[in-house]
Order: sequence, then structure tokens, then C-alpha cells
Amino acid sequence: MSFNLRLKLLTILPKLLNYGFMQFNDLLKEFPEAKTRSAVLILYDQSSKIAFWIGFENGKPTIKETDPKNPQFATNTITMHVDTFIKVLKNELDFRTAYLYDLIEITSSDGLPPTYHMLIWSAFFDKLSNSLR
Amino acid sequence: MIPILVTSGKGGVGKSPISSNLAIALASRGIRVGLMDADLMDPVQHLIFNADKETIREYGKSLMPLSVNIGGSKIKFMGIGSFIPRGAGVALNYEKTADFIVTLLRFVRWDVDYLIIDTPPGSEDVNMKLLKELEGNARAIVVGEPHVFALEDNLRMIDVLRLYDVDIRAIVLNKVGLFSQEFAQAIEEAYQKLGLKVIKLQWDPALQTNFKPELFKEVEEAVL
Repeated sequence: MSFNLRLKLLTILPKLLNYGFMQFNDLLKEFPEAKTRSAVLILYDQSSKIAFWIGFENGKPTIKETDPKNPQFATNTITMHVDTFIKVLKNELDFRTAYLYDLIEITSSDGLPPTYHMLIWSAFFDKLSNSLR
Repeated sequence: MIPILVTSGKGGVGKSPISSNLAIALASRGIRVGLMDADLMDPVQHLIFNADKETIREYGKSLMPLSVNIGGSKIKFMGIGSFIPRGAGVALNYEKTADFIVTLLRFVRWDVDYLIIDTPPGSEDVNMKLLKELEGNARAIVVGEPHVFALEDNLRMIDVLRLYDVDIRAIVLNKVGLFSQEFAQAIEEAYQKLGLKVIKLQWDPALQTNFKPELFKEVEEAVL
């Protein structure tokens, strides 16, 4: 991971992780199926990639770094430039709009359409960006 | 679930208000009705139903449709317009277009008797994907206007629909009285020569903003 990318991520990662642990229960009320899902979030810049695995381990919501070249299996993978990620978190860019503009790529491994995952992810990012305001 | 396409070869002929009015008319009979806005590029049903800025919900591995109540008639509704910011351009490539259609059609818990599908005009990507997904199990009403350009576009659309074995129940000639009557008779006869029932709706500007399901009795009977 490049110094540039790590530096950018350092500005938001602690809040992201806190959010993930503190507010996952609220999301579960709306998306109970989330317990059966997992996701890999891949962020990249010009020279490097970083990946996070998001899901449940031993019944607990978990967000952890994983190898972007060989990530832990997940039911879907979402990939975006780190600048897009930060704009979404800052509420400068709507997650769905970014997807429609091809700034976000989603692949599915569980038979559900990528659009389906996108709509679920959009609710997650809405809550995330609101909580970081 | 029986899908009913409300379609046309030409844009701006009134597919969306006809779709919503037809949905309300059917729902008022006690029929379980869903309305899917398949116009991904220019959706308006969320505005017609006042279903803007909604939050997506999930049940099992299905998305929950929105519930719209118009004068006691309950309709299940789903469309891209409810979930994307107003004014955001929709720049979908074919892959994403097809995926959206599959999501709306197959991964929404519709649980209805009839699913009305408000389509974009012509044989563009969305409609071709829809026709392939429906595999000839759909009914359709084709919306037209009494002028030659709409006829020309609809003749092509009818050909495509028949190619995919869609059961065309009627041509709805909308906005009758708005255009020159010079070719009106010839246009009606052109559709009838194809063996299609023609239903005429008088031009009514209020139909763009108000629900008038009572005007759709003949259309109801054609699709049931």
C-alpha cells in the first residue's frame, strides 16, 4: 500500500471501524440477511490497493484487512478508487450515483444480482456517511 | 403473476400515467397489483406515486416493494427513481441495465396477481432485456397517438412484441382530439388491419397530474 493511499485512509478508518462495530445492530434490523453475507471492499489509487473483509465471524460483526490479491471469500466484492470512497463518506457523492457513473464496481458471488448488492450497500453507506457528519 | 407491459414505439405518448391509472383501476377491483417502473433512464412513476427518497428494505433474499395507497387502492411499486437522488443522471451501460431489470423483475417480493411494467419507448436495451426475461409470458397494451409518426414507431414496436410472442391486448390511442383529425381514421384502420383492438382516450391534460381510473374501464377489460 502506498504512503499516499494509507495517508488518505488514515483520516477515515478509525471512524469507519467504530461505526461498523457500534451501529451494525441497527442495520441488521433492516437487513437481517446481512448475517449470512460478507463483502470485500477494495480501495485503490494509481499505484496500490487495500482490501477489507466485512461480515460476521463467530456471530460478531467484523471488519478486517484482507489481501487484495487473494481476499478472504465474500458474497460480493465492491471496488472503487479511494477518492470516490472519501467523497461518498463526506456526502459529496451519492453511492448510487457513483455506481451509475461506473465509479464503483460490484461483483456478486452468491447468485444475487450486483444491483441488489448495490442497493443494500447504498443503505450501509447512507448510514455511514451520516454518522461521520 | 401476469406481467402487463405498457409500452410504445414512441416516447411521450403517456405510458406512465396510463400505467399508474391502470394499476389503480385494477387494484380498486380487489386485484393484487404491482407496478414496476422499467424506464431506467427517465423514471417518473416515483413522482406520480409520491414515492421519492425511499429506503430499500429486504425480506429473505428479496427486496421489498414500496407500498402505495391511492384512494384506498393499494399498489406495490418499485423503480429506480425512488432510490437515486433527484437530478442525478443515469448513465447505465448494457450490463448494468440488464442487471437492474433482472433485479426489479426477479428479486423483488412482488406477490401480486398482475405486474404492470411501465417501459421506456422503442426496442432499446431495457425492452429487449425485458422481453427476453418474460419469455413470451407477458400481455401488453401499446400506447399510441393519432398521428403518423407514432403509428410508424408503433408498427415497428408491434413487430418486435410479436416476435417475442407477447400477447398484445389493445392499442390505446391517447390524446385523441389534440392532433389534426386528417389521418385519425386511417391510423385507427392501420391498427385494426393488424387485428388489434383500438381503445381511444380523449386528450385530457389533467391526466398528467391526476388519477382518473374511471376512464380506464375498457383498458382494464382488455388486459384481464
